[in-house]
Parts: sequence; C-alpha cells; structure tokens
Amino acid sequence: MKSSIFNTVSILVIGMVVLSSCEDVVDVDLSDGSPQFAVDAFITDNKNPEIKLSLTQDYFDDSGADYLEDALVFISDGINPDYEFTFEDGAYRYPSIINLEEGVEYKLSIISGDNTYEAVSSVNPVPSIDSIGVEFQEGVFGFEAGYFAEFFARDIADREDFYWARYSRNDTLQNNPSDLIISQDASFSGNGADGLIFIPPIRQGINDFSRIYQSEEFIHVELWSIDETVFNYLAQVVEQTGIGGPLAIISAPTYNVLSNITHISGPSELDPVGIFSVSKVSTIDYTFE
Amino acid sequence: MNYLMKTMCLFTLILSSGILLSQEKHNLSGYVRDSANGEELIGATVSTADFEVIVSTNVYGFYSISLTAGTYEIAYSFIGYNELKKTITVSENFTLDIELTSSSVNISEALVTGESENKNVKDIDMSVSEMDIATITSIPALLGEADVIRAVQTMPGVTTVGEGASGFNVRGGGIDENLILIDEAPVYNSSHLFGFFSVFNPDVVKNVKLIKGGIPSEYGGRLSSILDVRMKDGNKKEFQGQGGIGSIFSRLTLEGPIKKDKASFIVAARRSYIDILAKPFLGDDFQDIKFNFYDLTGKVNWRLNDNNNFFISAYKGGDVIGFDFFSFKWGNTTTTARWNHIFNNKVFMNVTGIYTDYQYGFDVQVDDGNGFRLDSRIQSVQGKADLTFFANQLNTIKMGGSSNFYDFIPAEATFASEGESNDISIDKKYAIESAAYIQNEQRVTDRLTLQYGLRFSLYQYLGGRSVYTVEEGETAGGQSEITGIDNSAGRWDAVQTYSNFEPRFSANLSLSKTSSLKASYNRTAQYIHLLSNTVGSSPVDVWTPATNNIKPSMADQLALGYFRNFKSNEYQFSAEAYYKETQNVVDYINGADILINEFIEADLLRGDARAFGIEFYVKKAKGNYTGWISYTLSKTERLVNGISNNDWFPNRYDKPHNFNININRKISERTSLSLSFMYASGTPSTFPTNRINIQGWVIPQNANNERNSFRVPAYHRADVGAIIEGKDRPDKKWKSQVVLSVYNLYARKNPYLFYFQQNEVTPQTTEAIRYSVVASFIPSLTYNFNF
Repeated sequence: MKSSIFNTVSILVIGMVVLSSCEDVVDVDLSDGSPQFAVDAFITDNKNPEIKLSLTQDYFDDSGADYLEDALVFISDGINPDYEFTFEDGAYRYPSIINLEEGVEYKLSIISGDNTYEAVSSVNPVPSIDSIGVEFQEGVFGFEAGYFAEFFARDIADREDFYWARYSRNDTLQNNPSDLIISQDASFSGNGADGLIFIPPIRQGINDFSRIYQSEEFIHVELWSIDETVFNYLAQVVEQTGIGGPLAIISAPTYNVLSNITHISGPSELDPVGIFSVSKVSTIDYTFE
Repeated sequence: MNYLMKTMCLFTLILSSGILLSQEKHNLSGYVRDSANGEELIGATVSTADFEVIVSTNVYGFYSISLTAGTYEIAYSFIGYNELKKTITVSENFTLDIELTSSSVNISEALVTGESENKNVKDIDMSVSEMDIATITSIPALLGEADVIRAVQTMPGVTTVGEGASGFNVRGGGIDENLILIDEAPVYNSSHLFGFFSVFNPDVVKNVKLIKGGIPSEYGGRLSSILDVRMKDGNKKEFQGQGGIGSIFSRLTLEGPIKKDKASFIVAARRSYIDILAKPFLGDDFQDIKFNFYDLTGKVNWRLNDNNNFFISAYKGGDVIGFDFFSFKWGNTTTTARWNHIFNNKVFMNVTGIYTDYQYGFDVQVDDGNGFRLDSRIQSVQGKADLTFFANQLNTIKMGGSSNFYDFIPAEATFASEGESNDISIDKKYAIESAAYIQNEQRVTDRLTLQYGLRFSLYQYLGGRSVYTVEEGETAGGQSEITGIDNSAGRWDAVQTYSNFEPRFSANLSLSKTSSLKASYNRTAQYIHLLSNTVGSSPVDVWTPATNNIKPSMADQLALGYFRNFKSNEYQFSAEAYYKETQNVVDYINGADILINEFIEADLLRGDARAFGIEFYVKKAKGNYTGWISYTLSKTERLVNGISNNDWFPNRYDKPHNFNININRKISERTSLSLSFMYASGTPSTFPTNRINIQGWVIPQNANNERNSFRVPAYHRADVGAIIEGKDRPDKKWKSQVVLSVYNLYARKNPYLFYFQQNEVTPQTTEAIRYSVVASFIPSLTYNFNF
C-alpha cells in the first residue's frame, strides 16, 4: 500500500509547481451495474455488535443505503453456542458484548432469501495505549495555534500485527475515509517495524491540521487489532476513496476493493462485497487543558 | 552457449564470403565533420555522382564506401549543410576526412541539391524518426524549454498518457519498453518533475533518433523502441559558449579545443530556479524549502591519430525537494567511455564501457529519535564491442557483443521511533544480461536492399540473496502464494537462466527514385521491468529483474511501409502499418504494494498484449514554411487472467486517434514563427458503476468488473512560439535570440483523469471530478545567447 510519507511529500512537491492544475466537478454518464449484496460487519470486544446488510446502489444515488431486513445472521466460534443476531433499527444486533478470544477464528453466516454467505476473521491481540503526548504548537503556515496530539503504543514484538486506530473528537467519531489510520506492525506496511513504538505519522494521525485542538476539547482513541485481510481491505479503501488532489497523477487506478464474504450457495450470480472483521480494542481518553 | 558458437560460425562464413567478393575493390573511408566546430556528423550521405553507390555516416560520423578502380565524383551532403563534391581517382584504399559548411553560413546559396535528400526513401531504416536539435528547438515548448521527449511525442506512433506523465509510449508499448540512451548509456528515468521535462539539456544534444520498428540487431533489451540521444563532442576549433535564461531553467554550456583539431571538451549545466526566485516572496516558515532540478553534462574527446578516437562522457541530473525535516531526491548518473578504432578502410570498431544508475532517496527526520530513511537504486555496468565491416559495395556487416551487470537495490531503509530503529532493507538482486549479434546489410539488386541479422540474448538472475518461489493463488488475478524460500544460491550462481534468439529483418524495395516499399520484422526480448501501478509513472517506480517467478517479456513486430517524396524531396511522405504481439507483460493485483516489499513478485500478474496501427507522416523539409503532420490510428490492449472477466481490455495508454501538426514559418531573416496543434483520443479509465456503503464510507464499485471500459474526453492543445534573432554584428561574437511561447493557447482544461469521491460537506453525495494538470495558457520568455 502506498506510503503516506511519500504522499505527503508529493502533495508539497506538486503544490509548489508553477503549473496550474485544476479540479472541476463534472457530470459523467456511468454504465449500469447490477446491485450486489453488501456486508458491513466490524465486531469489537468493547461494544454490542451490529451488522448491516444492504445492496449496492448506483454510484450517484445519494438516497442512503437500503438495509436488508429478512436475513438470518449468526456468528460462530466453534466452541460456544452461535451468536444469533436480530434485526432492529437498520442493523442486525446482538444484545451483549461478544467476548472475543485471541487466536480464534470466527465465522459469520448469513442466509438471505435463497442465498447463503459466509466469512471468517481471526482475533489478534492488541497492545494497550500508554499515553497521549501533547505539544503546544505556535501557528505556522497560516494555521492557528493549538495542541498537537499523538498516541503512544508499542507494537507487539515477534509477530506480524495489523491495527486500525480510530478516534472521536468531542464524542464525534472522525470517520471520513481520510481519517483512516492503519498500520502493519508499527508502520505503514512493512516487514521490519516490528516491536517499535508506532512511528510518528501513525501516532500523529489523530490530528486535523486545519483544525488543531483547543483547550477543553477531548478525544477518545481506540486501537483495534485486525487481521491481514481486513488490513488489506482498509488499505484498498484508503486508495479508492483518497484519490484526488495534486496526487491524482500518481494515484492508483480505480479497482474493486477486496471482500472476504463468500457466496456459499443459492441462485445469486453476482459476488458479494463488504467485510467481516473481529477486533480486540484498547482505548484511551484525553482532555486538553 | 552452443547457440553462441553457431552464431560465431555463421559470422565467419559471411565474413569470408565478403572478403572473397571484395577482391577487386578499394575502400574510400573517413569522417564527415562540421567545418565550424569539428563535430562529427551522424547520417551524412556519401554518394557517387550516378548514385550507383550511396552510404551514410554511422553514429560516430564515419563512412566507408567501396569502389572499383577509376575516377569518381563523390558528393558529401547533409541536411542544413552545403553539399561538397570531390573528384577522386581510386587506385588503392584511401582515407578522406571531410568538413561540410553549414548552409546557414551562406544563406543565398542555401538550396542544397535535392537528390541526396531522399535518404528517407533510400535508407533501409523504417519506423525511424530522426531529429536534429534545430528541429526540436523549433517546436513551441512548455515554459520555453525545448524538450527532446516532448518533441518525440509529436512523431507518429508515439503517445503519452497525459501532461506530467513520465516517458512515452511507442506503438502500444509501456514506458519501460523504450531503451533511452544518452551517449550509449541507458537512462532509467528520463524525467524531471515527474514528466514535465526530460533530462536532456537541449544545448548539448546533437542528434536524436527514435527507432520504433525494424530494430537493428545491435540494439536490444527493450521491446518497443530505442531512443538514441547523442551529445555534442565539443568544438575542436575554437572556444565557444552558449546558454539561456528561461522561465524555468537557466543553462550554460562551454566548449572548446584542448588541442586544436585533436582534443576538445564540452561542459554544460542546467538548473531550475523556482526556489531561488520564490524565496523573497515566501514567509519565514518556508525559507528552508529546497526545490530544484538540474543536469550536468561533461564530455571530452581526443583524436589520437586518424585511426583512434577516445571519448568520455558523463551525465548527472536529478530533482531535489526538501524542507527542514525531510528531503526527497531522485536522479540519474551515467558515464560512457568509448574508443573508436579504424583497423583499415574496411573495418571500424567501437568499444564502450558504461556505468549508469538511477536512484531515489527519501529522508524524514522528525526529531533525533524519530525518522524514516529510504534509498532505492538500480545500477548497471556494461561492456560492449561493435565491429562494422564494410565488406564491399553490396554488403556491410556488423557484429558485436555486450554484457550488462545489474545491481538492483529495492530498498535500503530504516525506521526510527522514539530512539529505537529497525532496518527494513530488502536484499539486493543481481542479474547479468549478455548479447551477441551479427547483421548484414545487403544490396541484393539496384532496387532491393535487405538487412538481416540475429541477436542472441542470454540472461541470468543470480543468487546472493534468498530466492523464493511463488505459485498462482486460488483466485485468478489475486495474490500469489509463496511456496518456498531457498538461501543456497551464491552471489554468482545463476538461479534462473533465460535465453532468446531475436531475429531482425528489414527490406527496402525501391519503386522509383522517389518512392519505396519497406518491410520489417523484429523480435525483441526484455529482462527488466519497471513496476508502476499508478495512473501515471512516478519517481519511486522500481525497476525489477526477471527472476525465477517473473518471466522476461518478448515481442514480435511486423511493419510495412510506403515512402514517397514529392517536388524534389520538398515533401516527404510515409505510411506505415504495424502489428505487434507481446508475451509476459507485467500487471498487478489490486492494491499491489511495490514500495519496500520483499515479496513483490506475489503481487504481480502476467499477461499478453497486442497492438496494431497505421501511421501517416508528411514532412515539408524546405522553403519558408517547414514542418510536419502526423496521424496515427491504433489500438493496444492486453489479456490478463483474472482481470476484466478474462477478456481483452485496452491498455491505459491506448489512444485510437493521435494527430499532430507542427508548422514553422520564417518571416524574415531574423524572425520565425511556429505553431503546433495536437489532438489525441482520451485515455481509457475504469469508472465505478455502483457504490458500497460501509461504515459511512462510499466505496466505488464496478459491478461489471471491467477494466478501462470508459474513456476520458479527447485531449487537444495548440501552442505558438516565436524566435527572434538578435541583430548580427560581424564585429561581435555575441549572438542572442529571444524565444516567446504560449503553451495551451486556448486554455483548454484537458482532463488527465476522472476520479470519484464523497463530497466533503455532505459525505453521502458522490461526485465525479475532472482533474486537469494544466488548466490555463502558459506564456513564457526565454533569452538564449552564444559567444
């Protein structure tokens, strides 16, 4: 996956070029594509789980996802009785936290109409977040003064790990595709950043440079363990939603992001899309003084 | 190696037959040079008065012509130079070095006699575009900086994916399928600032030749084309300087004799200066910004005696971008040492040693304990020898061999976080690529000339690192599985050997004095690939060798052409059709990781490609109006298992229509105007059909699984330029000119690509964005001088 260090530099490079690049919103006629079955299932050990099922829509259709209601949804771990989900308020829900076991592979099964779908995902360990480091920054480059934050955690040594860091600012989840912070061991992608403290661009990913933290704001940071497939999935989501800007000329071409959902049986001829993930989570909270 | 023996035997056979045939002939040979500065002229014509015998000087300016005893009037001519006729009585082998005077020296007599200018019709070469620097400078240029690669892009059969994209595409091939040579040294990345400018400083370029088909046996290693750029040797007669101050670069070149007519030098420097110009306008926060690109060229040559010439030329260029805590650099270094030796009037030898590298580096030091450093490089050392044997009037034999030792350094990298650091370097990869070739150019009859040759290439991927094997995974088009890792192969052990016979064939059938039919076939093999899975190429794209997992690519191309000149060669016309098939092109899995990836080969796919097209070209070579028009109708596509429903899909650089026109008008002794216009079909692109809603994100999805099934709108652009020469003062050596240009005259926003995103304010709303690299017209002013 593209290294964001390179991207950052490139932004500056091309930004400095005298040539006048330009982006315009334009009308484009896209071909029709048949709707595909989509699964949105991120299960963590700190929250009652929910799973959303929908059909993909025309790309420019912004009417909001139509969630499917009549499916049978359950998760099994091969030891405990199946966790059966029930549909309520747009999502399939399980009434309590699932106590995810490290090293265990969980299987999601969905029976929707005559079609059966399955997906598996493994639970990996997650390190604790030691602290939030804060530094006051004078306003440079025209930005206002304020606090710059970083979360300190150390990658678990001697194994290949994958993580997703998410954060809320004043109780609002920062959830634009550009807020996706993922790491392989302590770095972007890479064989070798094993056992280190997360490198700066990752641990500093919880800042919005155009809106630096001010006194009395508070943040909640979560570090999720994910498996390799989910890491690749999120990396592809970053690539596919983060095209644009001065980086466009060296962005990845459009492609379909991967999915770990498999169509097991039934008449559907189209591949399902979406992702199933199970994560251990560690968290930290901080209020700027 | 058995093959090599056979090749050598074949050569000996031809050689001996050549000697037998040549018993009663004598050879007249020598160099053809420019009288003003002693530069050897490449491709000058040497002929007898009746055109019974006609030859061209080679890339070193050397010619050899075989004649029976008698008296001849020999004509020496070259475009832009006054023709020179010499009456010579041939009774034995004879050496005659010639100096031609530039026709601009005496404008009233500038009309060169026509007949020898039908080189395009007479030559065996087809699918070749040759440009001198005067032609390149006559094209209105972006920011006034004459550019070799942009000039090449106006030729038929040559396309680019868009403004700012590196390199160029020839007859449906990828950018890495072009062998770009600067004084015989391969250049691995020919671009500055991504692709806006190329690495060739126009002040030191002597000659540019692009070979798209009928590739002679002496060239190999790339599938699609050879771009052979020769640098000036340096003025052997007098000290001279030239330079320019432009909107983006400033240039200075100095050249002169070290020993008159014996040895000379040339040094040239070119540097962008946006950073220097911008500094006063930037706030204190930005004073540490580094942003420039530069080229340094140096060359010395030494004519020891009539039979021995030595040259050393070197190039270093690069781009530097930096800020107080980071820097990003990339660039090429090349060095060529060359010895031209004339054994006798019939045998010419060139021995060359070449070092070349391309590297990029990346250094981020946030503070003492936190940082990231990456260096990546490809370097090669090459030795080669070429022998030309001017056997007789009817046969010219070339043979030679080369060996190229590659070191690939995918990544030397360390991470440091809070004072602890980890080395994440990837071990070097080593390879040797060798080749031997033999070729004969034979005049079969007065009307039929053939060139036939065979190149044998041998490639070895070496050990000295862990070697892993991959096997295709369960899902076609998905990541391969690593099935084994072996550390036993030593540094010089061949892990994998590939070899290929590459037949080359060209024919010229003369239909009349002004028209000919030409045909060619060539097979080419390529053992190294540039990995790039972005829409445009970038400086961090990595070259990677063929390995036990990555097969070399191989292309077969067939071309047919009709060449015809009109009005005493004032108009030169050609039409060519080609068909090309390529095996083992490299493609990528979705989301392939090409940066710092030990197991990169698991992310690569293998496919086939094919391309065909027809190219038209008309050039007006003389008169007040000069210029050319080219039009290409073509198609290029590929087939990769697991991609686009296992169906053929268009290559990213497929542009069915490609039209170029360049016109120059001399309006007075001192002023000339130029206009160029280009039109090209839009590039193919993958667009989504649907959206997937996950976690509040809108992810694009093409439900039909088709790649490159859409096309962005067509590209078109007009540029204008004017060159105004300063007043010529006979008492002063200083001459100057002013070059004005406007790029993208009517300010078209040519789309480079379309991308799709969520609206920032209302994330559920998605939009299509047209991205244009250049969206307005760009005027420029350049002042050039020489003294």
